[in-house]
Amino acid sequence: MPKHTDELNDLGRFSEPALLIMISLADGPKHGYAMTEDIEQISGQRLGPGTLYGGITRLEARGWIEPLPSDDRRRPYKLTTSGHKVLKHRLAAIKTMAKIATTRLADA
Amino acid sequence: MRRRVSVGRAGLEARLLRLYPRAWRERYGDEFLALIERTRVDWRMTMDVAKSASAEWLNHPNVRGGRELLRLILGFLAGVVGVLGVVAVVQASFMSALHLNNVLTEVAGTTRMLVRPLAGLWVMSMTASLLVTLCVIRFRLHRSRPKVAEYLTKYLAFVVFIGLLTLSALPFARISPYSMAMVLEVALNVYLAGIIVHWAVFGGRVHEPQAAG
Repeated sequence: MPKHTDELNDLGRFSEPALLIMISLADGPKHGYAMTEDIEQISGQRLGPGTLYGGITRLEARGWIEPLPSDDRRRPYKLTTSGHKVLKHRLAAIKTMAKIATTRLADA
Repeated sequence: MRRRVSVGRAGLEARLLRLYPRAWRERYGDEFLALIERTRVDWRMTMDVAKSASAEWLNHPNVRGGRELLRLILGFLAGVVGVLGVVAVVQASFMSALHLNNVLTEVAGTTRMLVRPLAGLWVMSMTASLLVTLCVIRFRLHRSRPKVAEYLTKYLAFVVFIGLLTLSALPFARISPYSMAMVLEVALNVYLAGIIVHWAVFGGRVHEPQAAG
């Protein structure tokens, strides 16, 4: 298993929100409210503000996302290069897992 | 431009933010407030923020050691001790007032009618003096903080409301001055307990969001 994927799993209960945040930022910078809306569209689940900022805090601490300058209180974030790599590794792992699961379901 | 929110709602948001460690608030406070101002406040949201705040206290690497957690625990304990102290004072004043009341039952007619309200005043005096002392201390410590005055005004308004309610019920319910004093006593103690817990846990302050520069 790639190291980056393990690191994402190390975020405990914030692993899934962190992944959703990274997916949301994959197509460009967004601030908190835009991320909440986007994640709801992608996954059907609306992250609470505490969970969202729990994820943002941990992702920023690991250098996977970074804040951009802003003129108002809403601060946008973007994926860093290492964040991009972590996301790619994670999505590859999910893809492999989904493929195995699909095969097993078909065999059953 | 900042969205205008009601004073009550802004107060709730500020309280939710205060659940987080100071280091976290300094870094994320403004943007977090900007988000929760646009979020519907319900019990789910409140629980979500409370859970996340507890995670920040326990896990966030940027939290400045355990000092703030210790301060919070000590503040909570101070609140508990303060409330127990108030209860003890009330208990003592009630007991002494009851004793005085019993003594007065031995006294005949007019004298009893004249002296009996003193029992009520006696009940109130101990808590009232404690209340005044705390108010003076608080004003001296935070003279430069208008938010404290705002909170005191709110609490005092509550006490005045209870007092007026009691007075208005007096002619209908035939409440004796002694009973009225008891009701006012309860109102004063609710006020005291509230103010002690508020001071201990929140430090009597309200976070004032700043526009990000």
